Amino acid sequence: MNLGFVSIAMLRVASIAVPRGLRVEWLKEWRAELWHVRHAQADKSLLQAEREIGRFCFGAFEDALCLRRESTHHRVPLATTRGSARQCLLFLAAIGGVSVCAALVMPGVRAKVSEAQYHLPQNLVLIRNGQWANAATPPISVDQLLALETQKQRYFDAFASYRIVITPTASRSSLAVAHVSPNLFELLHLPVRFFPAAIADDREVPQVMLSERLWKKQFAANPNLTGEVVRLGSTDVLVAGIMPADAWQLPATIDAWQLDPVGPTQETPGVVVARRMPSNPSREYGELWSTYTVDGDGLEHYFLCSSLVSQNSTPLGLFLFATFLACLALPATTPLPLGEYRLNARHVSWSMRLRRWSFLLAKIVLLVPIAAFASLDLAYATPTLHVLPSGPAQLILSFSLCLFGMRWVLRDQRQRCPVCLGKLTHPARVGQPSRTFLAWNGTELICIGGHGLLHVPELETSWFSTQRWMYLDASWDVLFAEPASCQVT
Amino acid sequence: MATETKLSHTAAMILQVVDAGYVYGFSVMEKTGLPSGTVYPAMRRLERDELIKSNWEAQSIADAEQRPPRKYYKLTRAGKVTLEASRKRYPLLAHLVPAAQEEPV
Repeated sequence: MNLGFVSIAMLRVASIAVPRGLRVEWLKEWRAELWHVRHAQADKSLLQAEREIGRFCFGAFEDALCLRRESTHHRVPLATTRGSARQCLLFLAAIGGVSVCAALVMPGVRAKVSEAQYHLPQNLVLIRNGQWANAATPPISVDQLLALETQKQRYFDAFASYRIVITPTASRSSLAVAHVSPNLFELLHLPVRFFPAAIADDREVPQVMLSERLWKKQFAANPNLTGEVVRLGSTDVLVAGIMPADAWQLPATIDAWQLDPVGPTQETPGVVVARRMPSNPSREYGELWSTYTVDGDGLEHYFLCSSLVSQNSTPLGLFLFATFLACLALPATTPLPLGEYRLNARHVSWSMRLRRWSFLLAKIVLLVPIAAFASLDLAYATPTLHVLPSGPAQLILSFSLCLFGMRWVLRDQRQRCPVCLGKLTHPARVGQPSRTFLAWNGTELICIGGHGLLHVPELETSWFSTQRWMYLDASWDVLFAEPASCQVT
Repeated sequence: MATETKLSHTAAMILQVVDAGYVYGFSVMEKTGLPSGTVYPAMRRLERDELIKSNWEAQSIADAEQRPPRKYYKLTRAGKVTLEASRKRYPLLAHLVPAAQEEPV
């Protein structure tokens, strides 16, 4: 019985432990040796011969593991000097941590983040009076609203309206009370509802929804206020509930919302919110378009329709947009190549290249939360100090942080040793600008671990367009504090 | 490089055996009586330290003898110097493997 396949299988299994680059030759040598071992056992009994062969093959495992250990021992450790890769990542993580903590602590930022949980439906439209297009919220009269609701070509399947009435109070301040149609909150998907008419009618007073700010300021955050009749301005009202902070995302700051079954009147025009029909062709027009209707008297009414979602960009949406813009602008502000050292015949091993790319990726990953939260912190922490509104301020800050952060990431990567990822130091001017065409001139940096020198040209020329890395061999080790056990193949 | 390398007794013995003309792994095993799990890793370390160097036998020679080609080892200049130093350190080394053999390389 020939058990040759068993010994071959043992060698193949052992070869798995051998580093890939050495595996073929290692297996070739062991198979050749196995042939001789088997040949030498020819005069022995089968059992004795196979035992010897098996013992020989077991040695292959020790040899393979030895090779594996040798290869891992040659892995160059990361630099531990000042500015090392670890320090860099720790520094970025610390900045990111501070940004996140600041966002959690600052009330303005927390409010903005919590606001993002109230999403307006995608298909809501704010309809403005076309003749008042320059006003922030041009009011719509009751005639116009009726014309909209009865137009032959249906663009919308639901309408709601509100009108703001400034109510004087006993103190010098006044309240902005929005008189809202019964279906407004439902249309906006707000988490509050008025009492059913049967309950409210018993009290014979209008019912209101208080803003959280007013509830805290005027009613000391009384938890039992709902269902009570209170005096608001000069009228008694029934408190139907408290509107959560930041839930109201339509134009104007409101103190209270009063249920108004009547809707806009001729004297007090209002703002109309409509829900687009799914088959509405105006969807193709974008976020802003105009329309008109003709009423029974033959009068034309022009309206400007704008999507509500476009007016309420979330912080995440702003950040993603700013990141996209920064990525577009990046190639225009800094070269993207990391200084691949093509002219050098020697190469770093694949594991070092992987480590280098992982380091770059880690920096980018840490940069993202820094840019996101730092821009939020700066934009929303103290909005009263800003010249710009918070939204545009966040956009500009996010864009700047992303752009300059990525510039720094690339520049930092270019100025690191590709072997130990240590920061290159001791910049020295080499050459003279007047001799550019005779010899190179630029800056020379050195790896403190002794792995090599980086030559960065002052002027890009056809023969020296990008930075070059020059590896130093082991004979330079004595000059450096850190031993350069350079694994360069 | 390793003119001052101090070898273990096993490594010195392998070096002595290779110098004596037992120039492939299995013959070193047979001569020293060491198992394969000791001999081959030791030879790789000696080669890494540039005390021995290896080269593959020509395929034509192996084909003529109807066997797979062997990997042969021989001492380098540094290896010879180190072996001389080891012989002084281990005086019995020369007695363990006394006679140099000539094998085709």
